[in-house]
Amino acid sequence: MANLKVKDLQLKVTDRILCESLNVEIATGETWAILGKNGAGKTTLLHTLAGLLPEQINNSSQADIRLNNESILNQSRQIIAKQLGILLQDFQDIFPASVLDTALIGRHPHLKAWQWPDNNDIAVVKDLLKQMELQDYEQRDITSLSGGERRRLGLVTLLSQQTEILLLDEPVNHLDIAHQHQLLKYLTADTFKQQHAVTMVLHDINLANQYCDHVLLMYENGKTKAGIASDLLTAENLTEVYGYPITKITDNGNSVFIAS
Amino acid sequence: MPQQINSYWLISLLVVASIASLIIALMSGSSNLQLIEVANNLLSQQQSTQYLIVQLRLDRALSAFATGGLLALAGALMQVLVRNPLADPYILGISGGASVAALIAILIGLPLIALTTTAFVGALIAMLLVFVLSRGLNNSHWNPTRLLLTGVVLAAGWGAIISFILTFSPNSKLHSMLFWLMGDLSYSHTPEPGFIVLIIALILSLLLARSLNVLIRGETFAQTLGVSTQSLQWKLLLLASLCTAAAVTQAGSIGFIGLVVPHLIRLTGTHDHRILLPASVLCGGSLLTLADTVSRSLFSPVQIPVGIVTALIGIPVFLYLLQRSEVHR
Repeated sequence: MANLKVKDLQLKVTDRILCESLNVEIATGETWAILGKNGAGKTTLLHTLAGLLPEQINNSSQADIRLNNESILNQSRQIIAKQLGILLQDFQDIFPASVLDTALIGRHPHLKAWQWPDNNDIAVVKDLLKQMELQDYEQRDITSLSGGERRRLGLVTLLSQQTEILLLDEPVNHLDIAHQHQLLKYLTADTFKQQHAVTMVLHDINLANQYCDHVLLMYENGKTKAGIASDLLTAENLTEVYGYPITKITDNGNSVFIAS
Repeated sequence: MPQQINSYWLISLLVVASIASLIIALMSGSSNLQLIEVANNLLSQQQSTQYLIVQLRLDRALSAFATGGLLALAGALMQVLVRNPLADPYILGISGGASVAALIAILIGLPLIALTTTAFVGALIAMLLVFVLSRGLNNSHWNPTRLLLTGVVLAAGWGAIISFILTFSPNSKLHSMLFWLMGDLSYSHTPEPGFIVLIIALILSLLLARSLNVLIRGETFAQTLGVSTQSLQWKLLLLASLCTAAAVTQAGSIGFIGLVVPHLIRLTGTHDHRILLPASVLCGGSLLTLADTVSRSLFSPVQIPVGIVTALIGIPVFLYLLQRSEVHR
């Protein structure tokens, strides 16, 4: 059972406060969605959770992020990388590389300095490539992939890191509707869910509603609400979060949110 | 792993190419020697004319090899550091500092040994300037764009000083100044310092090599995969700068090798820096040794600056390989 505890976190960009004293605990078995307007601080929060922005934790003296009960600031990047993986919003593909090599780079934290990926590593990666329907592209250059294919390859790299805690910044960005649902079904399937703590930034309220059991709402004024999705996903809350009228339609127990 | 087998082939091939380039360098020149004569004179202690020729050529060939290796290694490291395929060892202005120092030394007529030392000191000063200025006065977060901009601007500054010195130098000094600026190995008779720096830098960079495979895909991405990027990038900057300083001190600024050799190796499908770095060293070393052999044999006894030859050989080879790889993609 892995967990990520956020204690009294304050996020600041220049002088603007993005969130004030956030307290939340994410544990294995839970699927979290982070919702908020553009610029509300979703990516900053995700990067802070991954320990990439230590200065945000040092903003206030009481703040801390504990990864498996140890402050993330005291853990080396290598140790963190074995417990927590993050899908970034975009990729820097400047130099050529094959799809297979790009997927295998996710094994980096598990290999020693002079170790090459062995058959087990390759099997893990090939299986994931198949899950994401990229198995025919193994030798292709990454610059020849479409936006959606590149995104799915990013997910393969992340999943091949085999960390219990997963943070995903807009995982369905660039994906068509079929791949969006396939991916979210994969991430929320029972066996996967029992072994992972998944947190993702989403822009689609309905996907969050359909697949996530917990949500973290980030308001414009630095206020946050975190908890059970069915409690917090109300028309009233979402209208305030997005600053735009949103209504909820319920039919046969399924609810859908639409923007008017 | 087929990839590893390919890598062994590549390295073996390049080792053979390196030895071949050194042998060719010993055989050719203003008087051509047979292979057997070269071998005899290398082994014997007889102080014949041929023996002296072989010894002279050996020193120069080894200097060329070390310089080529240093430039290729510095280029490969610099390209990862600033994550830009156009980066070369001179992009941060280190050669500019060395050149200004060397030109001043030529201008006031210092002897050769002092010229070399002065050039090295110039390179170190340029290196320190880049280090301090790219870090900023408030010790802000290190980033490659800032480093690149700082380096490019400093390089332009050094360029202006070089032009200034050239404008005010007497005609008698201009020839040797131009040779130094275009890159020239005719003063390089002591390969040892270059080789020592090359071997140490190669070993140290091989210790970092696997992290470079991740860093080249982005700093934040590398951090998420467990790489401590801040310290890694400082080590890279230091290693690349030292290699450049050593190369420039040995032979002035020889263009092209540092930019193109790492790409040549990448075009063979090698992207793992544990192979890419040693392969670049071997390839850069043999290329420069061959180029230098051409530069002193082609119009012998007149020697042309080796930088001209590296460009004339390298550009078509590189463009050909680039076209071929586009087709196969």
